[in-house]
Amino acid sequence: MNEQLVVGLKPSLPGFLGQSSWWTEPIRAERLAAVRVGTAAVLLADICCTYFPQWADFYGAGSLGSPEVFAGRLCGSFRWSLLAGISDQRIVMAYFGVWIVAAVCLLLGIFPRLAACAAWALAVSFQNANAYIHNSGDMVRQILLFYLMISPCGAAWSLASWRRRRLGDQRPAFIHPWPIRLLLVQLVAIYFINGTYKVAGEDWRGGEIMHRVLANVLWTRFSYDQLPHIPGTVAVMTWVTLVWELGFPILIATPRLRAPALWLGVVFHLTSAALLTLAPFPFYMLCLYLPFVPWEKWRLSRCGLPGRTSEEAKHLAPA
Amino acid sequence: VLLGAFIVWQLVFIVASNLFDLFPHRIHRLDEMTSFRELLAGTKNPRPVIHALASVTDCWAQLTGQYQMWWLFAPDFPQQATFPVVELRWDDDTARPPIRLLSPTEPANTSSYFHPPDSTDRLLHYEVNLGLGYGYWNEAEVAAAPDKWRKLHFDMVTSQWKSMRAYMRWKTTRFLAQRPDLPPPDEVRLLIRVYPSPPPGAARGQRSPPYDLPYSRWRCAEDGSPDCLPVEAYDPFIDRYVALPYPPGTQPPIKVSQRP
Repeated sequence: MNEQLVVGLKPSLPGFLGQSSWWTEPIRAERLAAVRVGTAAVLLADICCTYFPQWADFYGAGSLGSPEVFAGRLCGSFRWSLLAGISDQRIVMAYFGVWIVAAVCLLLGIFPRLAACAAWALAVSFQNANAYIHNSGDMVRQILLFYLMISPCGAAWSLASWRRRRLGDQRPAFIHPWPIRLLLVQLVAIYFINGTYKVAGEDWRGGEIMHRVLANVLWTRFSYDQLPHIPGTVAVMTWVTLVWELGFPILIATPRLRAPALWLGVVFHLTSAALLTLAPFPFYMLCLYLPFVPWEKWRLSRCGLPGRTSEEAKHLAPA
Repeated sequence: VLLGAFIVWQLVFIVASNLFDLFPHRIHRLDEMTSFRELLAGTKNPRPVIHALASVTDCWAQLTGQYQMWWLFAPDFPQQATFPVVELRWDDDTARPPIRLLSPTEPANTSSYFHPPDSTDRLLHYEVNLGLGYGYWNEAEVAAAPDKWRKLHFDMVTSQWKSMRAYMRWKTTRFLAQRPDLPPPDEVRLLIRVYPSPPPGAARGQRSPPYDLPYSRWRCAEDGSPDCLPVEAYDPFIDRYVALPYPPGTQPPIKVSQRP
């Protein structure tokens, strides 16, 4: 009973990857489960709030994503879409229905990998069927769903884990860390590459970009005139963003700076969600932060289930 | 072993595809825009080796939907906002004057508005893509290099005529559903309304007024020449609409019903 329960295949990693405990030592499954639940929750809100009210305007015959509009993008490339050539809006509606069911199953942990697979296939399909209504946030969504599809994301907080506990197996679940590590590498790449493009821009270096963004009536939720004007604020915001993005690989690799860097990221994304018309981009980005939260410790201290706690406490591993 | 190889490949993919994109190497092929960074159509590829290597990572990105495009508001950000405006016209314009349909995302008052986080966020992205080139439209630069801007303008219409027509048709159909007393228009025009952003340090409410730039025209009452695009481009230097040929090697256009 005290043997560690590790869910999923153990990868055979070459060279230094195979020798690095960061890549090989199992971690608590709640870290990945949190990504699953967070992604599913944002996806569900995304479908219901940003697609569904105008689904017939975006897809099907006579819509902005009428099949002939983006058909050329699917030719001569590896892009694909389950909606290719579909004009009938009843079929589009059916796909939306499947997408919602997949998101709910992913959220609740009911056949989560199958649900992630369906959600990913539909996310890619909807994106390729009308590319213009999507942005980088949707790319993050697809990356998250892709990893959930191929990793044991149902090892905790799922129907299967609930059944296992009911059958008397109270051991905490662990997973091999590779999906979480790859997501972290992806997060670092997102910020660092963003910072690299930004530092190449004269207006970024000059501290003017945030003014331009906030004064642009297209990209802002509120008028610039409605916001408080504090001299120098926009320049500071510009430079802090630039330094934070460029320095993110170092900040995240330095234990003492990691938490402040992540909190700054949370503030950055929540602020951009409040001020800018970026669709769900900030919320999908925040899903990439979820593995950093020690969910297993929080659960132990909050739930205080004596028998389970003592059993699980033996298995608490540093993530 | 397969899982290990996959993990190594994912690491290589994330790093390589992001590095490749730092060096623009894809040429735009005069179809609707992709999310990738692309050089202008007709440009000679300056980095064929990077292009060949990137074709491998591009395949994986396209198959799995893992596009690596991380340049939010970088390296530049336009100094003006653009909104599409659709104008309905009837041939007998003395009996029926043109009607302009504004974007639902365009604020009625630039000093006070609120864009709620809903499906209009996605519609806004579609409209941004329609008017992308006009975010950087600058009268002085255009006057200094008219041929360059004309080519850019015509290439945009050649690339995006399908999405332009879809937008014009969608707006027209929605409007006519509310106004059944009107006959379908003979001509639909797409204009781009430009809102210059105030410079840093400008006083509150101190904004230049918006202005409209004609962009393209769809003669929906006529079939038009089979060799030319159904959507014509406005030539700002001779002040009239011109028919553009289909780009060489493009697929035959799918026949869709003309008149809304």
